[in-house]
Amino acid sequence: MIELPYAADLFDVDSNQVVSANVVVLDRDMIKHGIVAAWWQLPGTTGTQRRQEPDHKWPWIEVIGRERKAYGSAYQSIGIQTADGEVQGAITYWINKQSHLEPKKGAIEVDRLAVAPRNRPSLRQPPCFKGVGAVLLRHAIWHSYRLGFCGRIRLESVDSRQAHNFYRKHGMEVIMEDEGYLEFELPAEAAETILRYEGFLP
Amino acid sequence: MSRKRINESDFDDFAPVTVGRGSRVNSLSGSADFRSLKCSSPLDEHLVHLMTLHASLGPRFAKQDLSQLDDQAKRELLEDMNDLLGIRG
Repeated sequence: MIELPYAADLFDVDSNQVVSANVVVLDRDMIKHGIVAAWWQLPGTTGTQRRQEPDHKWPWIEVIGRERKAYGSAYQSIGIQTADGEVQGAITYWINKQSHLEPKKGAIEVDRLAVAPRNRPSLRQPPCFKGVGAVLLRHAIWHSYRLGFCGRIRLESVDSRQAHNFYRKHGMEVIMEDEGYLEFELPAEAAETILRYEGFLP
Repeated sequence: MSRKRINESDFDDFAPVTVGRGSRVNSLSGSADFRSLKCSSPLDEHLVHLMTLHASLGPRFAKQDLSQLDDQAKRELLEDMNDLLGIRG
């Protein structure tokens, strides 16, 4: 199992130093106040800029409520929280899905992965924190490993070369294309390499 | 738990966002059972997840009544399951 919360490093751009944050289970209050009410209060951005972000209108509370009702605890919601209580990013995923690369074996399927807008270089220069997305992705890999899925995770990327490069950099492979979106899966071997490199595995 | 990062170059610049269209993937068989699972702790939940996701654990562990086990016994149970499934760390 994974003991939550646990500490993970982020880079605080304003103070130019590495800081410790907590990977936590997202509860309703954190979603309501830390994401829905806080993320898009971003001075200096235009409505057009915000609307270009794919998650601008994500109804987090409704989605998590609906999926928990349908899937129970197979739907997980995780966040990363800094010392000031702010939620810097969130990931939701199903733990009971099938792998594409190894049919009949299990994998985690990421539903929603998003970094707080204040941490996106496309919306704020400089961003507040770096490394948020990687922490959340690693958490899903680690959870997949602890569930006996060898770290296999899959997700659907937005249509962006930068996003594709990010997932490839993390060892993920394109497994299919659907309506212009690429779906990626992290193979077991690549997951183990990442977990060893990151110190999760000896 | 994770590797210590030292400076800015250790961190990704990119801030990913996924599509968020809902699941496109079939569930593993037996996963509907998750809806009725009631667990009293994260450890219980993890044990039940392993038992639900891995039919191979069934013959040995299916009849375990977690409510009758203390925390230490549950952790030993988890170690046994991890051994069987090849989960290290």
